[in-house]
Amino acid sequence: MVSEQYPNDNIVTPYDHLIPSVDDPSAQFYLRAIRIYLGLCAGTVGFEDAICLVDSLKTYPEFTKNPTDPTVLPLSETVKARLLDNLQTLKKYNLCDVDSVRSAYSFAFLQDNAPLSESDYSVLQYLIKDPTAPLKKIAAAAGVTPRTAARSIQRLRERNGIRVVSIVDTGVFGLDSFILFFRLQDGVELENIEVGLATFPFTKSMLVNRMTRYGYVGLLFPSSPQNRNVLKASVRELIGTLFAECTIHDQLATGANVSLRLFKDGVWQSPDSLISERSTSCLDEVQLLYPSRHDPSFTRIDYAIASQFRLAVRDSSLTIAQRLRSRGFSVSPERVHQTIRRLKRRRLILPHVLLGGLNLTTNFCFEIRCDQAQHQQVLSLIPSVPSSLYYLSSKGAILWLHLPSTYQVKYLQLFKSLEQTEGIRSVTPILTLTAPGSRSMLDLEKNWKYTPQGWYVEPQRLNLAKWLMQTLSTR
Amino acid sequence: MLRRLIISPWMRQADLSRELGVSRAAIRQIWRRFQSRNSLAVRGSVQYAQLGLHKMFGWAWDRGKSDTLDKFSRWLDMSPFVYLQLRSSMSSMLDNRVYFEALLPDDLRLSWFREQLGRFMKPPYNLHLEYDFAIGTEYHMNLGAFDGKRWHLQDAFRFGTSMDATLQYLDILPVTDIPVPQIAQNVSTEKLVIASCLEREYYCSSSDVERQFVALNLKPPSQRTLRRRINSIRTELASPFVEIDNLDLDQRILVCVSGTHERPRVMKLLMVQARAFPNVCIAWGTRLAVLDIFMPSEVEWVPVSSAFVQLSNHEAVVCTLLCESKERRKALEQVIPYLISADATN
Repeated sequence: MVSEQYPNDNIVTPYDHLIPSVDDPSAQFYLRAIRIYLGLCAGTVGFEDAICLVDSLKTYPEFTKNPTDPTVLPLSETVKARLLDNLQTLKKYNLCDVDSVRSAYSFAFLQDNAPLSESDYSVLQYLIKDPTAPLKKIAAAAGVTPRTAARSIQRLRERNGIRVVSIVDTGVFGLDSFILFFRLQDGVELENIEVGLATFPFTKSMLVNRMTRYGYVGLLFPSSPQNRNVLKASVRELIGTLFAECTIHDQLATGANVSLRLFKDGVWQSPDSLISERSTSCLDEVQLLYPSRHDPSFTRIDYAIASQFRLAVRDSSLTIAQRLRSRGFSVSPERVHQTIRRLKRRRLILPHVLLGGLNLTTNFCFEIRCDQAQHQQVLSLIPSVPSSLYYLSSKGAILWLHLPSTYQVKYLQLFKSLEQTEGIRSVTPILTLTAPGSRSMLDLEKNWKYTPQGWYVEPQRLNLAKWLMQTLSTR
Repeated sequence: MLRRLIISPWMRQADLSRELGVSRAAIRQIWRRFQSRNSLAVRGSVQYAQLGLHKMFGWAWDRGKSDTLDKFSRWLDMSPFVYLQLRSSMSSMLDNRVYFEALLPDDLRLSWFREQLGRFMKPPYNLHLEYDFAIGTEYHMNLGAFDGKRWHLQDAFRFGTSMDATLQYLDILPVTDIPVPQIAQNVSTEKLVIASCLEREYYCSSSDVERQFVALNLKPPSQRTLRRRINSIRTELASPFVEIDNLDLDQRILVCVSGTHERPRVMKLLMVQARAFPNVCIAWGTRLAVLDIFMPSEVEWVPVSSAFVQLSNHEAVVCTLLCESKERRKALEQVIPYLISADATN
């Protein structure tokens, strides 16, 4: 179907009259994402069509800064109502700049305060413990029927924005993961750097804070000593020019944690008691996934399957196969099942629950520069945080924390106090409105060349300094 | 009664009784209840320039682990002319900040104070510090979103978009530019004392003022003279505003605007938007401005802060501070003993 108002795309929604017409590509990006979501809600855009439309979204540089995918977001009447309300506000004030449109989109998805019933809470508790557990097991543990458990999981997704996802060991596919944590040099135009980083072919995720000028960029690329050397050399060139400072964090381990015991009677408790109990023994709760060596027996197809599996771990093999077909991969459900089983057996995945709502409205990213010996000290704080993701490197750690706003000051002070610990050189926070996402593994793969030995890129393509300078010179 | 009083703070109990069609006894009872439960008071916003005083406001910050900011804070504590100091528990820059206000006489003490500030900005302290002299101060309270029990405020998105929309027609808004006030010279001690009482209570009585004279070891004029002087000084240099506590406005946010040049547009926008907040004091100079906002605790600081911070551009930088202290301003009340003693010595 083709819209009258937007003849160049095939999205039609009953709310097109609310969507402003804009020239700015960044604003267009968000409006397109809104229309895809509203189309899915209204049933005027089919799921397979939506997947193709999201592929076109990924051509916008704004996608890297805010990698939103309406096809993985829960379809919720509340969110839809908020989106429509926000669009009406934009229309009322005649606003169509990128900041306003971005806010209209982001604020609609900000936290859902729907209360958790006792059965939902019990189901969630078990899901956190074993995210891939079969329904029967979850139901038995929660003391409900499998049907009730299934409904709970659906409700948790739709009303509370809770998803079950996974970290994937990209090392086994012969890929390197790095995070550059930087501070922009004074006088450097932030917007230009943002565009440069967003369009860099190996950027997986990024965030730059306008006020503090601190930021990070996560990179994923085929592993080789030459690739690493070119990247590191180019980063050294950037220090003193575009970056006032920059630390290259090479991945040693990653993980995710949810501490639901802090959530009582619908409210997050103060972490005080857990902080005082803190010891290295509570590190048993902290799960880590270490990157493996390249195993060429894991092929491109396995990579594609892993890329879809990680977005929705509880989806059936059939659903994953269908999603892959929409992306040009002809894979049978049996093959999907085989790969997932292999990934699980080899412990190459770390499924976990992502708490999208539940009043965790404050998002911090911390860079902690320390010796590897201090990793334990840093991780010992993780069980006192409601929801967190962490990335350990030889230079320290990067943490993403999702917190209730009531205790935002307490947590900021808690993590900043790590600077008093010997061996911890600095703790730098970035505060964000929304939890940052990342580009899909399949999108990144388009920039690599696949060979029987694995992926390959020309090392010079990893020259980030050259890329950024070229971007700046064209703007 | 409270709504009416906030809109027209000059109204006395008798005026309220007439306006609302309620007996004076009833108004008196309600007023007393508000006084006891909510510390209701009608205070006076005083034009300090007409008392020969400069109102200074500013903020200092550091990022690092040094104790320079602590040293600066201790120095501010010891200064007799600093009547307000607020420490941030969090800032939009995620650094540590101290906000301060001071009332300084137009003499050597002002230049000495400025020299000390300059000392903190140089080695070995190297503190980041900005300050300005207030041209104007306004107090606003808006109960429109309060139903008696809860606040129903706009969500952060609507708040941000209404500010963006206001920016578009900012140039045609009738915000009057107030000229830089002339600092009065040779202000009498009597005027200072009466002004300090008016600041505490806009309709202070001659007995209140007499007590203040005595407390300061000064001989008060006659009651008749006092009554005349109070009325005249009140008209000359004070404007009333309502102060009230326990309305669930437990979250204090400071919005600090630092212009790269004089009178940035963002400052004008915030002066216009200030009236929309539940409870705000706004002060502005030529280059800096600050909004001291009290909000309900359930309002999320991060999205509101983002909405303010997004206003930053090449003209001005906006930083927000979350402060735990609920300390109110008692400017003249705190400073006057040091002004009087110096005058007495002179």
